[in-house]
Amino acid sequence: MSDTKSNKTGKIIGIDLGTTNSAVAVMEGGSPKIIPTAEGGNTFPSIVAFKNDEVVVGDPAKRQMVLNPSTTVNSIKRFMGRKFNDKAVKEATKHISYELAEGKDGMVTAKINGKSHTPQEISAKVLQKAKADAESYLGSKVERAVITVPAYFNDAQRQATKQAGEIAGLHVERIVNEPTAASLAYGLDKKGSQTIAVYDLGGGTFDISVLEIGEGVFEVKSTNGDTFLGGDDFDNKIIDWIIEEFKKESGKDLSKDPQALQRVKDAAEKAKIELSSSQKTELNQPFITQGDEGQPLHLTMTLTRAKLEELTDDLVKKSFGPVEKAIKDAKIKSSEIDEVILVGGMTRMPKIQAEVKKFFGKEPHKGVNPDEVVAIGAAIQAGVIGGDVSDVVLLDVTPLTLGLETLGGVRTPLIERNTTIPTSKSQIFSTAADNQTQVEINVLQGEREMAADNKTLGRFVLDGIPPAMRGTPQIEVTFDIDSNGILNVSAKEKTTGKEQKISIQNSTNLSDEEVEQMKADAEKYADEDKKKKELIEARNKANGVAFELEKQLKEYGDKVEEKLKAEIEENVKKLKELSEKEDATKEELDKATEETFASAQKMGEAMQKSQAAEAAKKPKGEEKKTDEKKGKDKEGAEEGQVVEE
Amino acid sequence: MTKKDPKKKTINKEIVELQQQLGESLEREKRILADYQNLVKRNQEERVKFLQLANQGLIETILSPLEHLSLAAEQIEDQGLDMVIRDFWQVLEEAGVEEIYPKGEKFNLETMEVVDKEGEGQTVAKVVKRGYRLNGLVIQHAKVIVK
Repeated sequence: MSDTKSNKTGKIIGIDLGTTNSAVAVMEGGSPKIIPTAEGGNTFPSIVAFKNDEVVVGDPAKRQMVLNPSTTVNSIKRFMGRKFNDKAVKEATKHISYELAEGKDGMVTAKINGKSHTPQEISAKVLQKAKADAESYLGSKVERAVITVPAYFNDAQRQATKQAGEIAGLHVERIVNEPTAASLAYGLDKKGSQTIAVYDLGGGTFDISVLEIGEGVFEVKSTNGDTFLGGDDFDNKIIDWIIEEFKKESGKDLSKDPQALQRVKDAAEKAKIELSSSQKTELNQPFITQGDEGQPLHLTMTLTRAKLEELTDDLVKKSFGPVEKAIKDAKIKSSEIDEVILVGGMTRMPKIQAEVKKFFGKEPHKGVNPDEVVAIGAAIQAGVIGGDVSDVVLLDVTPLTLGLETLGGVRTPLIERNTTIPTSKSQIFSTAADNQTQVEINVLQGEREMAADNKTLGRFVLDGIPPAMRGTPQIEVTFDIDSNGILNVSAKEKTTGKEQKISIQNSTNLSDEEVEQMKADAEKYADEDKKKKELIEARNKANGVAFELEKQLKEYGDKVEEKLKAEIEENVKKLKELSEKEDATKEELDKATEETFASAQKMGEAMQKSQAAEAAKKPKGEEKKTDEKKGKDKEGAEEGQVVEE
Repeated sequence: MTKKDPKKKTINKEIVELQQQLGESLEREKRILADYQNLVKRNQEERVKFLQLANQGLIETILSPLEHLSLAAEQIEDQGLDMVIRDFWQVLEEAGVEEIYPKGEKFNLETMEVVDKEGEGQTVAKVVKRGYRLNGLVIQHAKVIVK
């Protein structure tokens, strides 16, 4: 039925069929991509609502859940492939508001409007939405899928998941364990034999799995978890705290006022998210309720990350009991785990990341969005099956920024890091001094603002530049990296066509450690470097203005009033002195530059007047040509320096 | 000479192989070009969408203070405050924002989310959080209590 030929063509999608939320991904252009839902999100609630003949899935189903609790099915995954009399089923019943019944062979079914639906049928509705969203995104039919399940799922549960896929019209190419998918998303299958721990704290469940991988085969060593621990528990802790604090302050119970409670819920969720990136957050809800005399009451409090950690400490600790058991069951020590992966939105919480790191003694992987990592892994598995992955031409990227040194020892970037290669980029530069006949090109690699802090890949000199005013010659510098990572740098003087070049091997060939070190340094010194660069730029600007004005004074000084001329000369002198002073600050330089420039504007006005007068006297066509070229930089620039055009 | 030149044979074989390689390369080049062109197209579509909803992020962040302002007006009778709110709304309406305040209406899945119920009916008894549309698209569902 499902092995028809049409099933063998077209894209295979990867589906993370979750208890609380689901996500879909697909390989596109050689890399996995999350498929946006029809509602515009990256994941959708695994909730199915039955409305007369209509079935609603995802966000709309969630929005009407309170209204129609008995016809809205959530957490159906908890009942997949389970018997009605299972202990786990009895326990889960407390958390749902629809009715369960015993079906064929003692299996559990959901009873909606008097009609029994198997968990497979309900899950199929979720998968149908996944399929429809994927088809609308890809613009073609989707008939094959890889679906993930928890590592602890038994044969019956896996079989039920597969059936759900078939009911939804999807040929299930493979059922993959969620922790395996997460490992695939991080490419851990390519790193040889390893032991991996996957810590998955999602919306409503917590799973810990220990896997062993060898020669591309994943083996689940042990799993454990808490089927009722998730993000909602953390939210509730914050909500309770806000309500309690407000009660202490004002004696009013916000939980009794539905409108106030809703605002508290929204504020708690926002605060939780904000505290993942900042140390404290303000909760401000004016007019939250009224006092005994009808006066308005406002809720205003500060929640710190430390307080949040204190409030949720028991929840975080609760997750480590199962972690210890899983390690013990795998018959290893926590220090023997080679890689740790974080999955699920709650693992964004810094405290959880810190505790995981403390427990395993190593930094967990967390680069891939923890809500999407399982679907991404499923898509990679799908890509392998569909042949997308092996066919892909893998294009490399430049690990670090490539640039060259310009006036004042500043690094000017040409090819930014993470640019896909092959690529090429050109920019025009000029000379820094009058009659400069040669420039030196210092090719740099790194993320720092100052040339000296980066790595020099090579340098060469372009000579034979015709003598001219500084800033006049046009030197085109081209950086070209081919697909093998070979960097060719050329510099060409545009009027003579004279060219000089260098070829640098292995410009992309750096070890991960080197790249990380350089990026870390750049981050560490970012502020310092920025200040240094700004100071040099201010100095260069001051020099440029002084140089330009001196030139204009020489040329047009006789047309300007003596007093004004003396004033400008004095300003220019001061500006030059200041720019040569070692300890001049950026602010001083900027101020002096501006003042000098302002006085010079008067000269400009005077010049315009005298030119207009002369032009009126002379016949047309004899106006004196004015040199409008702006000198940008230092007069005493060292020979060989280049200037950004 | 009837005997085939073995050298010629290997050259012919090489030519066939090279032709095959060239064919594969050209095919791959076409595929990459097609991928690229598709990317450009999608990029353009996304740009249009992005421009339409460019204000969404900013407007979403304004919704909470706006809500607070409305709450203030409900509690404090002040002509000036009412004027400020009207001013505010004029700007928002020009930007395509509409309010969803469905009190007394029948529950509608498209625009509302139920947070509680006071009876068995489908009518909105209370709006605990106003909803908003931007250029016709719901950017925040109204949170309601039905009875």
